[in-house]
Amino acid sequence: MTLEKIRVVMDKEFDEIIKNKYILGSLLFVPLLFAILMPVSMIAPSVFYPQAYQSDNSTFIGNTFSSGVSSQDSLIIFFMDAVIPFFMMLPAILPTIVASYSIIGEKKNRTLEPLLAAPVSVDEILVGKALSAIIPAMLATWASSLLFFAFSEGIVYAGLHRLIMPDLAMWGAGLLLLSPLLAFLGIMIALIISSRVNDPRVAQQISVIFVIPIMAIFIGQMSGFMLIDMRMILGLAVALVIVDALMLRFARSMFDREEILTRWK
Amino acid sequence: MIEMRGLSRSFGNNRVVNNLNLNINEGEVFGFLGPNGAGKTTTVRMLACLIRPTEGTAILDGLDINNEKDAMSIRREIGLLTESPGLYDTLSAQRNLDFYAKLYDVPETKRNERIGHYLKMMGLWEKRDEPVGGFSKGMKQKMAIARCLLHEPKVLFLDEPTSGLDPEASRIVRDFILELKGEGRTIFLCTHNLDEADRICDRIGIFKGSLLGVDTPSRLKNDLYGRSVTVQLREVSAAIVDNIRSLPFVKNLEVNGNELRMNVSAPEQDNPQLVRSLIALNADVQFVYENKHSLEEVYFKVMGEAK
Repeated sequence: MTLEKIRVVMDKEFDEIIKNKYILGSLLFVPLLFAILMPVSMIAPSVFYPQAYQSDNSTFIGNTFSSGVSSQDSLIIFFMDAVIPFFMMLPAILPTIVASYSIIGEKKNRTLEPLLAAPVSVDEILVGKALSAIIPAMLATWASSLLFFAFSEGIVYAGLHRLIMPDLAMWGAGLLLLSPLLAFLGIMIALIISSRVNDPRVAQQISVIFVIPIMAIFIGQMSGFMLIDMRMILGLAVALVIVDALMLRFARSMFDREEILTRWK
Repeated sequence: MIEMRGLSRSFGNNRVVNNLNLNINEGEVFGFLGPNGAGKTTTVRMLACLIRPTEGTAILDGLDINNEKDAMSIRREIGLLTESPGLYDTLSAQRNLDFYAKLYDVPETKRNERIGHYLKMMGLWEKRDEPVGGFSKGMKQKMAIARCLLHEPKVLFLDEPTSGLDPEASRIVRDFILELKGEGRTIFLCTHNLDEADRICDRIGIFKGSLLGVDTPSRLKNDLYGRSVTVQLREVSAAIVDNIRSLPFVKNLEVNGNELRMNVSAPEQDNPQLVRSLIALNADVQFVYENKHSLEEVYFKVMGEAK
């Protein structure tokens, strides 16, 4: 496996991504939406109307807030950390969109056979395609998170004339550890599904199932069933490493010259 | 250049290619003829190291297709034109070729020059910056041919190169194949176009799961039909027919109106004797010509016998 060949595959993929308005739109619009919606819908109310939460003693948030352990600051920090699962959905979803278009596009245009006939290993093709989906997705996730912080801190400063920082260690672990692992899992799932279907949108719809556990964590936190902390993130990371390794093994067995040419539909 | 030894491939219980033993010489244009589903593409895919044989092997320029290490070298030495052009529609003609030139390790100093050369040769230079998605079928086919030549391969596998092309484009491709042959490249041509095969192939293999016949087009025709001549007379009489039938070199004489059709073993030697005999019989000879059989007749006869 050579880096040069991987780079050649990646460059071609990037050229195709830039020409695909749907992929480009997804890579720009969804992260931007998250970066704007989260501060507006979750941070702004806790800055400007914290009493709305004080009246609700039946929820985890209410209990935390009314217990006197913290003040408005802890409510804001709570919301800033509670949205971590949302930003973990980006690396899970975005590579799935890119990879499904890439692989199903190759199938539909019948470009796989000449590609596989070239002196390039299937691993180089696989890694090139995976990286070309992971890199823009990670950049979009990180850019979206930075925008979220900027908007959130802007709202906090506008309301309270000071800055309140979230749990940066937890965010760091989420963005630098969980995100790549989730992105990799998304690619593997997209690859496996894309080998069996011929419409990128069908592949994406099936892949979306994989977002459900992430959403469950968010809902669990908001409803008081669980609390996202560093231990949970590290535990998830370990679990993802194992799942990623298993999925890689399965996907690799499907990404074989003979398998692609004779069994892929 | 290519030596196939008992090359076989099965998919489940279906044996698609059975015990193929065939040698392709260096610089030869070899036509691989057969109906749809005969196993031509499977054979090419095995030779191009895309799928593995179930049994047997092939040696390509000293490299074994069953050897994983040799497979990458084989891919570097061959050019494969697949059944469909397989181009990236959103990318320009130049970018499509640039991608493959890089994959085939064409040196950076020669890359643009070679891409330009083949785009000009295929008449696509003016459209180099346009996405190939807007190209006609013929233009895409030309692009695919250019792609498989970029690394100047020793061996070319061309699967239906003129499929879907208009007569003018087909002719350009045919002339181009002959040009490549002139450069000493070995060409393995899968085609349904029997006229095309007859015109450009040095040898023909008729294939349907296994090899049914292989030889030069002219020898295949002669072996199946023998050489025959037709003599057209102003008038045919019983005496003329009896006398001509009695000549030692005449076989299978048939009379059709004022035409006599017969097999002769060597028309170059036998025709003068035949004409002299006819004149001696006071026959008015209008035309004498050798009967030509098309490769199509040979193909259908061989296929018919195979059934």
